[in-house]
Amino acid sequence: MSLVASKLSLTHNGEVFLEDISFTASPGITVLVGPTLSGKTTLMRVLAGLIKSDSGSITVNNVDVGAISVKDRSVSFVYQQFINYPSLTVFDNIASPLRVQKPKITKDEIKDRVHEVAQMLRITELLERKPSALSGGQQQRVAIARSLARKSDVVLLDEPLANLDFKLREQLRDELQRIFADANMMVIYSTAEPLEALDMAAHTIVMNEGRVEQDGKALDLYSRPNNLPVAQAMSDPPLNLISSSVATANSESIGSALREKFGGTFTIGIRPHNISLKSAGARDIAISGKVRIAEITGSSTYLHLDLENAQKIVLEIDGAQSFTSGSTMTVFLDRSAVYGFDPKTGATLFAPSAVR
Amino acid sequence: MAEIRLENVAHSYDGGSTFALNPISLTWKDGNAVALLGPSGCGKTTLLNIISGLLTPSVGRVYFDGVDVTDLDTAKRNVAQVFQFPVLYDTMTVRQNLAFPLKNRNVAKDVIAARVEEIAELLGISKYLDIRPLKLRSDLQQLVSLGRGLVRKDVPAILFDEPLTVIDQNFKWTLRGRLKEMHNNTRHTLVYVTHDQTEALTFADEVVVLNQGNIVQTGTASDLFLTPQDEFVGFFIGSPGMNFLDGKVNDGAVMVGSTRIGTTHSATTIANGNVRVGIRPEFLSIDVAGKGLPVEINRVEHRGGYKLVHADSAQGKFVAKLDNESALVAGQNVHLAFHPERTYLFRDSKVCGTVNVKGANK
Repeated sequence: MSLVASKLSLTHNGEVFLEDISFTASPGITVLVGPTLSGKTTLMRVLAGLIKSDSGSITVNNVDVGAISVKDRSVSFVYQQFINYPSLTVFDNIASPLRVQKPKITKDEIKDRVHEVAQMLRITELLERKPSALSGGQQQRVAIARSLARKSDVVLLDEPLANLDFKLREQLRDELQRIFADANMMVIYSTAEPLEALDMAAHTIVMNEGRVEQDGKALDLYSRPNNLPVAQAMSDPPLNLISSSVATANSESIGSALREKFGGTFTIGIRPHNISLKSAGARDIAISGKVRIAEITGSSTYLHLDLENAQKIVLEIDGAQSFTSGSTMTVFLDRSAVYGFDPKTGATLFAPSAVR
Repeated sequence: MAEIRLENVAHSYDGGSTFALNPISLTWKDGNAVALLGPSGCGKTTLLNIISGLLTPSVGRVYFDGVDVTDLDTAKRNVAQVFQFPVLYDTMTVRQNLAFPLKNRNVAKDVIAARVEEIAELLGISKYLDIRPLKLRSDLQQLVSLGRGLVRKDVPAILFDEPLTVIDQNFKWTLRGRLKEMHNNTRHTLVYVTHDQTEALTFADEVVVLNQGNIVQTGTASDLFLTPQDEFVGFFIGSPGMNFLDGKVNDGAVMVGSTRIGTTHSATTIANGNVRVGIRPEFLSIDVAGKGLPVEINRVEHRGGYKLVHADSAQGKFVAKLDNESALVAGQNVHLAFHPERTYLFRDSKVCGTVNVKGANK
């Protein structure tokens, strides 16, 4: 089983929505990750057949689905904004697509399937209720159950957790992984959140400006991004970017401190947890900045520093620590965690060899 | 800016058979940033609407700087509000939208112009000032909406209802910092409703955690993280939340299975019997000496900067947050050590004691 997207492009009113998108999805979860407007939803709508691409093809299990009408495709779609029929019970909400399916499914089998997916999503005790009597998390479970009950070849989940509470998201994300782990279907799951992509630990595709930037295992994309957009799509808190001409604490430029890696000008990328208050070794790069604010979450502190030339960095420090706004301090970049990007093309010039 | 005081405020949407908000009395200092945090249905938006005047509480009184405003509507209370989704006039430019709340109050033209520029700069929307909001992306529209809420300096309070929901993940970080900085400079009284703990904890001087219509704990981010008074706070704050295991107290010894986690703190000696032992994922470590709690690792999640290790023990499942150097694989049997000073004991979901470092992990 597989879904193969080949050279999909879509332009509308001169604006490029999708540009030459190709990838292969196997049974199980494929994650699409990228910022808002990177083309994730458009791609899903094209995969579902809701909009047609200008060029390219989609094959599911070796069949080109381009000529097949939407209602005859074996595909289910779950939206960010959960959609249920308000006048139907949860049971009927899940059963409704099965009742119109061809070839016809018997009543008993419909009942069995509804109960099977309800159990998977832990909503069995809600089957007789109306959606209005459910919480947001429960409603989204119903929408997901409906998409699973059809046993489509392709299930498209477009940021399905985005409208849910933070805690509920944690919980449902774990459950979705469990549910889809052995699923005999291609599940395409989109998210704007890097941690969600890392959590899923699945085949991951990074999208940016309508393009596929990189395709691989989530952790590989995190540690060895091809370019700056990939590094950014896989970083939360956001990746710090500093020009290589910014001065270090002993007033040489960061660029010269890294010259053995790469000469010339480049953009330094370093994640907030790889900058420390104390030097771990002589190979760290010391840099001075002025405290802007410190944000304390309890488990960590995000310290925002202003460097020279209006450059800004954020440090993630363990535990709660206070700092005085406006005071000057020296912090240390872990040299073994520094990325270098071409300032013009964004291509990765060097990356740390391993994740730290 | 004003001090906000609630006296015995409660609310029922169904004439008193059930209460969305149980009786609450509290005082928020003038100039504080307060976050109301909790899951959906906890009563946080109800509480916000009572403060803004969109809702008159079934019971109790609301005071701004000692003045009873309970029967005043939103306009008369003069508060500024920012909602989850953009609320803007499509027939006006962004500049006119931002100026509107000031123009309405007859503020001098040059003062308005300067203030609009200042707010646009803060929110990074200066270049959109002369176009209509409908032409903007939804997250930019929300920034304009935020700007409208922030533009007036003479309001008793600014109320935010999940204002960053539609803002892009990356930009949230920048914006949160800017809002906090603005608050440091202006010391407006801010009330901020959210279900996102990072937003609440980083933004507020004081976080009010609500669950099922009750305030379960109020404190700074560190208070809530380090000294949860209630199991719900332990679970809800932190990502992942606190682990809870079945344990026993036996003549001062805190036991999880046959592992002695420590002794009860002398000041908090508690009766023998069952307890729930709470420990955050951050305060567990691998005990190479093999004296900690025996567990089997069931899954290791790479989170980039750290690992989440999911483990099973006879007393329950839990998660440990470990650094990337720890080379662990599923199926492995290891011992976990509890940081005793960060281990809490709960009975009836309330904290009932802490653990002493003496005699730990034996």
